[in-house]
Amino acid sequence: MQDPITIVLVEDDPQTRDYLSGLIESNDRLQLIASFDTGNAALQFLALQSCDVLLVDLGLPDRSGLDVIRFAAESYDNCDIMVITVFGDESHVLRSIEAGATGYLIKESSAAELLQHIETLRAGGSPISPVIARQLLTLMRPAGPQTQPAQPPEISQARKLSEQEIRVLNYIAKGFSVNEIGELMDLSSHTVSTYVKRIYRKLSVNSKTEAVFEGSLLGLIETPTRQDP
Amino acid sequence: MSSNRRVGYFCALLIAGLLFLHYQYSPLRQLSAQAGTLTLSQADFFLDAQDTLRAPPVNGPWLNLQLPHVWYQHDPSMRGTGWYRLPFTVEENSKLQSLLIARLGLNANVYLDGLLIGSYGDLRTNRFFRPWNRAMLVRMPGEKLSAGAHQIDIELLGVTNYFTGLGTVVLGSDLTIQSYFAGRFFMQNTVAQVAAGLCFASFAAFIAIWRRMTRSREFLITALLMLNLALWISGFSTFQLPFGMTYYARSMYTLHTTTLCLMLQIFLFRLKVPPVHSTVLLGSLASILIGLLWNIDMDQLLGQLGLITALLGTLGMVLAVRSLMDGSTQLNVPGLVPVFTLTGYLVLTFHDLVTITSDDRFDDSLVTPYLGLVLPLSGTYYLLLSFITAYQATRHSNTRLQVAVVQARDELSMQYEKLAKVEKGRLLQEERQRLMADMHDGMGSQLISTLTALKAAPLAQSDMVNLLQQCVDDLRLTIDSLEPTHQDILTLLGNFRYRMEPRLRLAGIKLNWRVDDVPDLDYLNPRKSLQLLRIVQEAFTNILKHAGCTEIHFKVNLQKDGILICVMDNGRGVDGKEMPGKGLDNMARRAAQMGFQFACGNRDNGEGYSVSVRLPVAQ
Repeated sequence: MQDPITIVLVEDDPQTRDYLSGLIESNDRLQLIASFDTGNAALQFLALQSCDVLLVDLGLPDRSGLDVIRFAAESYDNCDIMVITVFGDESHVLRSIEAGATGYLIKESSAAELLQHIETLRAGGSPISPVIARQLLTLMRPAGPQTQPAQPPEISQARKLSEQEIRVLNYIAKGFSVNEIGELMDLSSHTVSTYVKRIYRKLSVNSKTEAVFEGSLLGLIETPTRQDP
Repeated sequence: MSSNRRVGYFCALLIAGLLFLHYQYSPLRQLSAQAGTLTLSQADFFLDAQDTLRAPPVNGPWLNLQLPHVWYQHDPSMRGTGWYRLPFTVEENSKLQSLLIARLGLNANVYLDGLLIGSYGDLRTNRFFRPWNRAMLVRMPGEKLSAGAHQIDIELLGVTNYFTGLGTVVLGSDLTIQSYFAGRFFMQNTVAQVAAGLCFASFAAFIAIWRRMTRSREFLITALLMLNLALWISGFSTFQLPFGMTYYARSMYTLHTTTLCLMLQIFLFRLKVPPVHSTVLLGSLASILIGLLWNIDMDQLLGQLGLITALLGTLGMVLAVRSLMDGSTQLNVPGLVPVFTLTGYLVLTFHDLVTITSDDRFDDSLVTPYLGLVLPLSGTYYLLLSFITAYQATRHSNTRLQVAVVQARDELSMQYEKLAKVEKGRLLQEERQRLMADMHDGMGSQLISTLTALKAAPLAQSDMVNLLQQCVDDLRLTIDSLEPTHQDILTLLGNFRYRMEPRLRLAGIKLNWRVDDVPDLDYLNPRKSLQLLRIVQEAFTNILKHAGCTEIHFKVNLQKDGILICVMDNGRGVDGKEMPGKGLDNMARRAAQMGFQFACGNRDNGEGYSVSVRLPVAQ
């Protein structure tokens, strides 16, 4: 028997927290090791200990959930972060991905959906909606020699999406499911799903590199060099 | 204004120069005072009133008199031929070679010891010689006059009441007399000719400026004034008359009258007397005066000239003073030029009238031509300065204009920003209203009907879940309709599919997603997106509720007449007897509102139901 997947839940709304705790505890494969209703308490915990999956709500009473996501993403490579949203709308999800999240969970998800999402994440995949795919295509520039020569190399490198990744995003933006894309591109659906996670990571690195780049411009940071993990 | 001051300096300098030259060359005493000259200012005079003599009279009632001798002053009615006898003694070592007569009026013969040595005009005809603004130079016969007694006789034609008289006679060496004569001739004749020429040129310039640049009446009057002055001053260097004396004199006095009237006209304009009134007034006055000039006897002509000058001059001065007092004549160069012109003209004319009619002054030069020198030169200088000033003002105003253009542009962009802000506010307002309407139309009405149902009777949990699910679904659609899809209808529909998929999977329904690449729809705003999503959602909800199917085909096809969205199931379809649900009505209504075509019905193969919406490529 495999070790259960350890989960930390950060959610201030008691009903949602109870609902999600109930879903997690009712599943043998999942183990809730801690749940918090404030960002600070979660940060204190995460400073000491990691987990497999971190579920974070963005609207915490004391600080933004983005701080918790950022901290966990920088501290633990092996921690998958999912943001809890009501609608999975583009603006919330994109900001979370930029902070380091690789998945998102809609509040009213069923137990089956929760398990499926978490398992996909652990297997290296990420969910993505067509709208988010469309936005990513706009935000991230395609790879190629013609891309923005004025950009510092580490940024343009980090920004680059491979051709395969662009194709995947294009299909997703047109409403095709991961399975259908796998058939269309002659890949397994699992591979398609890992593409998405990789793209998310790139976006997250991009936003960090950009912050570093801006910081170096302002003279705040002395050595902006940072490699893509 | 500095240009005004400069014109003032220029005029003052010019006048000072003229006065210097005038007093250098004009007064006869300059010559008389020189060593080796002999001035003859005593003469014996005999008047031959009947013009019978043809040679100097031997005996006669000689009248001893002082030169200069002006007939008008002694007896205005005097006429005929006057004989002057000037006896003198030449000393042993003197050198008398030339003779100068300061002024002669009119035709004359000069004899030395009974020998004719100079002749000015024929005394036997009435063809007048008019050497009134120059001295006469006569070369003596021989090397020089021998020592001993000599006599000069001068035969002079006199006209009643006109410039008849004899100036002082001076004898001296060629060098002395001729150099004095040259200087005086220059001041009297050359200056007059130059002045007349300048006045003509200035007339031409003023007319040109008046015609091309400014239609100001004052410019026209000034131009005419310059023409009058030019003709008037020409008279000062005209010796051979172009026509008879009576006509010539009257023509010249007519010019004098119109000159004064034109000056009056300038002041009348300034005093805001309506042009018609002033023209009629001055026209009638000038007509009367000129009419008199041409109808009175020659005898009275000089008196008439004095009268006209006094009358119009006084009137002019009164008007000038009035215009100065009420401020219509300003104390700057353009304002003061007419005052200066009128005053100068009157003073100079008075000076010359006195000169020509009195014994004391008869040797002097006439000065009126100097006015013709000062006026055009200062006028030209002033015009030049005005031109430069105007040019600089134009450049200055051009710069200001550029600055103003920049300011206007800035202001415009500011206003544009304001407008953009207002527009943004308006759009926000519209969006807010749209959201309100959508809430009201969708989730709001759903909640209210749920509430109403709950109040009437307790609902089963499944119904409750169902109703609330519909509310949440509609809210989701509202949010999705606001997502940035870049007018890509596939992304919009794909997102809907992404949300729907878990529910379909739960119900064991397979979704076939068959979509063509379709162009972006520019008109697909959030409102239209939402209505389209509601139609599609209704179709899916119906399928989940009623169809009992295992498969759904979702197609988006690009066709010639638009984009066809088609949702087909393989369920039981709709029995002909069944009433079409309220849902279908809603779908049709929404489609119609948005300008989409809507169709629904059982599939042709009899297997399942089909709902389709056709969207135009452009709206």
